Amino acid sequence: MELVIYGFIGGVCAFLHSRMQTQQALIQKLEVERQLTMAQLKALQMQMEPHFLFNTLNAVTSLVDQHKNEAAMETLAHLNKILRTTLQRRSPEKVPFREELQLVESYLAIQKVRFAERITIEISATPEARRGLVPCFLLQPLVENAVRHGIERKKEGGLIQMKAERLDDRLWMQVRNNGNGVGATRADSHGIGLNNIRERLAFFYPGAHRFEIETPSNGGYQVTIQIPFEEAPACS
Amino acid sequence: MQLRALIVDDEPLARDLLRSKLRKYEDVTIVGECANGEDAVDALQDSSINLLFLDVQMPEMDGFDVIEEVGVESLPLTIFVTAFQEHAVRAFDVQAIDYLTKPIINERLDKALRRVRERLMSNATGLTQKQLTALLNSIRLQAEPAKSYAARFLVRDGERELLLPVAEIDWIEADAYYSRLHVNGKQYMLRETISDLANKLDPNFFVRVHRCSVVNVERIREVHREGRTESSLVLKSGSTLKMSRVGRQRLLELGR
Repeated sequence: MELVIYGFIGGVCAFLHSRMQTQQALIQKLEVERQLTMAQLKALQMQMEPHFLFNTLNAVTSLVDQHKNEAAMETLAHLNKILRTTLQRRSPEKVPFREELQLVESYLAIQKVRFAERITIEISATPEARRGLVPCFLLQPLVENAVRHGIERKKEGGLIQMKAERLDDRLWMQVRNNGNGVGATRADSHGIGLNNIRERLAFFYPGAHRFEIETPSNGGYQVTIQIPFEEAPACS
Repeated sequence: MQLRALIVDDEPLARDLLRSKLRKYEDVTIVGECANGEDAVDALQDSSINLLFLDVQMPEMDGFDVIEEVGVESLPLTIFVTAFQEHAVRAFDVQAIDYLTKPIINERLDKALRRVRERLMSNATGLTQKQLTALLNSIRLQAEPAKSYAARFLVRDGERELLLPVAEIDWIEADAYYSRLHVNGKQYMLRETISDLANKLDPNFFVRVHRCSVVNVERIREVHREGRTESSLVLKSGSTLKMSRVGRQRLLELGR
């Protein structure tokens, strides 16, 4: 008789426990969806950021005025790429690194048109790295920060560097700028976008990622991310 | 009268475009171009310049810093040129004659230059001050139809977020593209510039006393005058804030 009662209690407990776990998983899923919506919104805000958009349109107008039609069309194509990619991304998903990189390249190409010799861009990503998967909008906030702090605030401008490669079973990515030293206030203003990335990495790769921010002694700001390497499906 | 213009903008293509547009006006001569605020301050030593095209967003020293450095009295007639309207009201606070957004529309440039010529002709300061006030009011009306003000802000407090009633804010400090809210000894960051924030707050309670700070007038304990242009505020919390001349004027207007 006792055995039956114990068995019954045990069964009820197991049932409740599994219910709770399902609910917790659901809460976690909702949380990451909320985070991602925020990231998308931020990314949109960056591209649709009135200053970015209107200054870009002004630059294109100026190119047309100077009959530099090729350059004008190229800039518009980059703007088109950015707006289209951003608007098409809807759900919390991983994308091929190649795609994320193209977005960032378009963004930087436009900044290059605007700031000319004030901005130097170095991008190096191995073909293998390009085939990896990353959470969408992973690099964008980092590159945006790098331009804001490393270029827009400095009259002599600076260097934006973006590197990616595969290290064994990991995908290694780094964004850095050579701006002047980072004070406490600057670390603060970087914080909001960075927290979002940190939380999404923790969700997608619990315990299996690295996220490091460094402020090298010779100035600048450097963010390094390592995640498990996952091969993107060949057709996507 | 010949217009001798200085162009200040940190983006080369933006300077190209404005130069190209100005070339079509026979009475305009471009005497110089600057890519940053510091160069602009130097260039403005040339007293023959009577027209300034000034970009707002520039590295290290922005358009408003240039004006602060040169002083409103020694400034040539100034047309602000910027990508976005957010600074419009502030531009008229520092007595800009007009305000253009990029990309510049030819008709607007026409109109701005007409205004410049009229001003140079009239030379009657009392009248122009009145005109400016009227202009400022009309712009405010256009920009803010039946404006309602923010009642609370969503801020992050460590791991949680909280809804902060604006009345609890002591003062707000500019931090580049962000604003730092000082609330009863605590600080919260908002991803908004101080100009954007100032526009959302009821001007009867929140006054921009300096380029970098907005204060809740209810929290002011003392006002100190330290010189012709400098003054400071002491808050009930004990904090001391610097106040610019324009900020002091704003505070005085509110007291009237």
